[in-house]
Amino acid sequence: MGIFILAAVLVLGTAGGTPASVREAVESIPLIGRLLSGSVSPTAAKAPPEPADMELIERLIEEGFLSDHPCEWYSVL
Amino acid sequence: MNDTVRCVLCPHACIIEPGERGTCRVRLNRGGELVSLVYGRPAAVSVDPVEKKPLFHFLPGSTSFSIACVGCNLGCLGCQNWEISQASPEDVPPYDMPPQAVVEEASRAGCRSIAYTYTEPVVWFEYVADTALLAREAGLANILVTAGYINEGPLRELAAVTDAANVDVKGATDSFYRSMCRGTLAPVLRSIEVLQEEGVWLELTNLVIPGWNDARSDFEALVGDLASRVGTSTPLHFSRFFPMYRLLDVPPTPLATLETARDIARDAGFEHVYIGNVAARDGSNTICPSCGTMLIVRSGYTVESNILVDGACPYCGTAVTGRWR
Repeated sequence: MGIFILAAVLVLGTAGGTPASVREAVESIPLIGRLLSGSVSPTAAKAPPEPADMELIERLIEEGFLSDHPCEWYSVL
Repeated sequence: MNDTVRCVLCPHACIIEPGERGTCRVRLNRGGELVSLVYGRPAAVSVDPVEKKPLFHFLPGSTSFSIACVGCNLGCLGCQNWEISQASPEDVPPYDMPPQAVVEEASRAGCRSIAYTYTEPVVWFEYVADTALLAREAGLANILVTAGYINEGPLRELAAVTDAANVDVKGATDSFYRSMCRGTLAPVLRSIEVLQEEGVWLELTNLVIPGWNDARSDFEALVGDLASRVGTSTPLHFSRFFPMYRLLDVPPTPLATLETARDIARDAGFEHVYIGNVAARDGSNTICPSCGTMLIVRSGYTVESNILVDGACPYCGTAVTGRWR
């Protein structure tokens, strides 16, 4: 029963066009807020891009449509 | 050590395995080396009035050579440029335009600046930095139009070659950023402080989305926060939303809502508050904060008249903040 109530709150509270005050109220519930926001990391809230098609990308680099310019601001783990 | 990398350009701090890319879609781990797929490959190139950025207090009436590569590190549900910001670089045919070519084309077109705009220039960091350096040498100004979602170190590096920035502060709360933009608020607020500290001319935009960030309390919180961080002489632009991307069911922003936002910002002490993306009486004119004289009259993105004298009101002598020449 509880899971259905939780699902209903999530759906109602996050539907597009829902007034901001309603969403704020739903997200202020700690558990739901964490679930919705991915509070561990904002990255978790943004879907990662689909895996790169490396064969296509290598071909496009070779043909000059894409670049392979070295980036700054990263480290090798 | 393996070939996994951590990108530290922006707050996402993506951990990227070989053959994968960051959340921005344009920075790829290629065998342990992070590479930019879009360096020198803009997907959009145009000559715009600087007012379109929008920048109303920076070289008014001039044109800006405007470029954009594919990619963004946010995922705003109502993105107004989603066709290129949310695309992957292999999906959009690019121009071949290395930094030197951008500068040459900008000069040839009679532009006074180069604008890194339309998508999110932060994620094409290296291209912006290299082009901006050459632009400076050629006597051109550099303009960043950004959401400001970047770490402080790289931002300070960019700021060193940036003359003006319009930062889109999308909302007043962290929960808004998480649910609408898939980012967080704090780095954006820090970015506007850093840009101002670094001497970059700063204007701010807020896209007002009905049902999402258009309550009086949203505007009050936003302008209060901005006033305390960058002061009330920073120009503010409240911009009209049009249904786009994943918010097709949300109506355009009513003019009355934008006017309410403007009133709240003026009541908070902001001297220059504009309404954009809509035909509004006096919405885009610059008014003397002391005597109320109409100083710059704009129609759309066109400057109809400008009576500033050395950046000051010709009637009362009050200096108006900006970079006027």
